[in-house]
Amino acid sequence: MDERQWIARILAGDMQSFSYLVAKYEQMAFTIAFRIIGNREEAEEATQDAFLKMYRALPDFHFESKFSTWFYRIVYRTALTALRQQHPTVDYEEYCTDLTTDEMDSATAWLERKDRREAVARALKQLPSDEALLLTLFYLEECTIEEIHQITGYTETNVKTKLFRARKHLYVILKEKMNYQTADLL
Amino acid sequence: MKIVDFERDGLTHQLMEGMTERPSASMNARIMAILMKEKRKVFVYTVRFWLTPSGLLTGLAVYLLIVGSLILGGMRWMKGTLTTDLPAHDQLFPVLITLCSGLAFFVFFTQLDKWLRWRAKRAR
Repeated sequence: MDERQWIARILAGDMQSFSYLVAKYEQMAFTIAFRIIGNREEAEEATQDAFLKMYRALPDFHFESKFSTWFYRIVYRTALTALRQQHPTVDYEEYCTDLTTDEMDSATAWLERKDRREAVARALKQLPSDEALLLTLFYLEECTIEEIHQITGYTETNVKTKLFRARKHLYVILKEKMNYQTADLL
Repeated sequence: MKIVDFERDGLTHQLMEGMTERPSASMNARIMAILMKEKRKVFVYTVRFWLTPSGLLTGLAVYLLIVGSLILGGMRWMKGTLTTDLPAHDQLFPVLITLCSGLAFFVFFTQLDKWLRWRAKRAR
């Protein structure tokens, strides 16, 4: 069944279809909220609020964009509001260095290690929230630049710049971790 | 960075693989519970509306209009289709309308009484 049918059923009062929709989007919605807020409990609350807002706004959704883009915009705004109520944003200390080919090889080996997920998760946490979010939307959810622009409201040039910067920052943080964890490989 | 962007993109893709965060298992159920609660609130509000004097009066008026037009329509239909002339038909309309409105007024006053008692109890 496609999303249009699901939405039509929800609008007709079928709660089971809404439950399917929640099941389909809960992980990505939570990931977006978590990247912005950085706290599991508050991210869950924001995700929950976003789903409720989406349910109430569903009659006004007329498929002008993809459903996921429209919904992620709601999640993004809800998470930003929650973040503003939580604490001021933390400044990120900007520093950049280049990865060498040797480092790339060891990175590939390191990628296969079991603890990769934890390390990348920690690195993402160290990134400024907007950069972690852009990486998530672009690489994980495979949103286009245009869709990211629709979700976040950043201009397309801004999205590209931020993405480029985010990648660099992620690599810098990971490089530090690799130097520490796999010094023998380098 | 010395690596070309394409390669770096592939690497970032690999790095980001499986980086979805999982919410607690109960989140879906919690969302559904909140929505069901909201729906119940709307239902309770609707029921309460019908139990107020204005709601009851509206209900009574609508009921009388529907019943009246149904009986009248029925009578006309019977007059037009039946070949045998039954004078009792003409007398049937006032009887039926009296019965139906009597029943409606009975329900109306019972509910109104109920509402007044509920309001007095709440004021105490």
